[in-house]
Amino acid sequence: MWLWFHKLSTARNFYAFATKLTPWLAWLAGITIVIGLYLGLVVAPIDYQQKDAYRIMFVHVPSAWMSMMIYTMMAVSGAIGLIWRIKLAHVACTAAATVGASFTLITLVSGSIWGKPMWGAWWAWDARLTSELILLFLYLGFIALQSAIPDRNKAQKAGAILLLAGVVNIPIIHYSVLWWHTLHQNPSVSKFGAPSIHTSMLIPLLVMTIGFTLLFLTLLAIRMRAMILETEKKTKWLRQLEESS
Amino acid sequence: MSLAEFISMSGYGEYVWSAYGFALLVLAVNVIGAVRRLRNSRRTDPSIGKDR
Repeated sequence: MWLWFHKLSTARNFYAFATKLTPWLAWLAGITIVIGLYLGLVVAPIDYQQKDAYRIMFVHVPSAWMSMMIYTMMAVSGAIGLIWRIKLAHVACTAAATVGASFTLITLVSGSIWGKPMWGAWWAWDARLTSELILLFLYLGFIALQSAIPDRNKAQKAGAILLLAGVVNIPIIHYSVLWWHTLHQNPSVSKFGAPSIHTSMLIPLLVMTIGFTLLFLTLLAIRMRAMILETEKKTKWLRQLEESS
Repeated sequence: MSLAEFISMSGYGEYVWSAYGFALLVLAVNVIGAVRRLRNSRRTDPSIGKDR
């Protein structure tokens, strides 16, 4: 009983904390993304090979990093939820899923739009592209699982297990370009030693990534608050039902 | 750099702007969806979540 109150209070505490944090996160995200767009579209110099088409990179690469980072965060959060039975960790998983799926979709679509003029094809069954598509299916699978299982606890457990099983795909995405030399280019930022990308192009890439991370945190805070309100409503409704019967 | 040059993106304008446009659209749908969900979860029970 005490544990139940304790859990409720942590959810309440989190709710208050997230409510205070949301406007700050939202403003910071907006400002950072605008600065990133300016640096990427205006300040960064033209590429000698790809001309201005390379500027797609400033949405493509940060989105791809987000798609992998959010998935990893969800898997860690799911593990925490399973091991220590922390409800808020499961809530974070569910709240993050659609945002993660969105960044994966942006990665695939922007990559496809970039691939057409550079590779001459919208899509190829390249290792990097295929593993990123699998990531989208993992996100969609998780979302479908949450809505398919009516029992909330069971849905959260099953979802966390799916996330943990799918986590093997993350290093596969990362190393795919090194393991299979197909179409997608090799990493230019996360190499050992100095990144093989000029500072004028690296900075907008990093600024956009910070902006996207702040946007993700904003959306996570809002969605978690909504989910907390929904569950608290449910417990209230349950209590009223018990009292009336 | 003129505005026309900026929009043309050295001939790749349709590709660059459609990629940015798609990203903007998807993220805007995310923001609207999240805010709407929070608003709906408040509306159903006005006794909680008034602390805005």
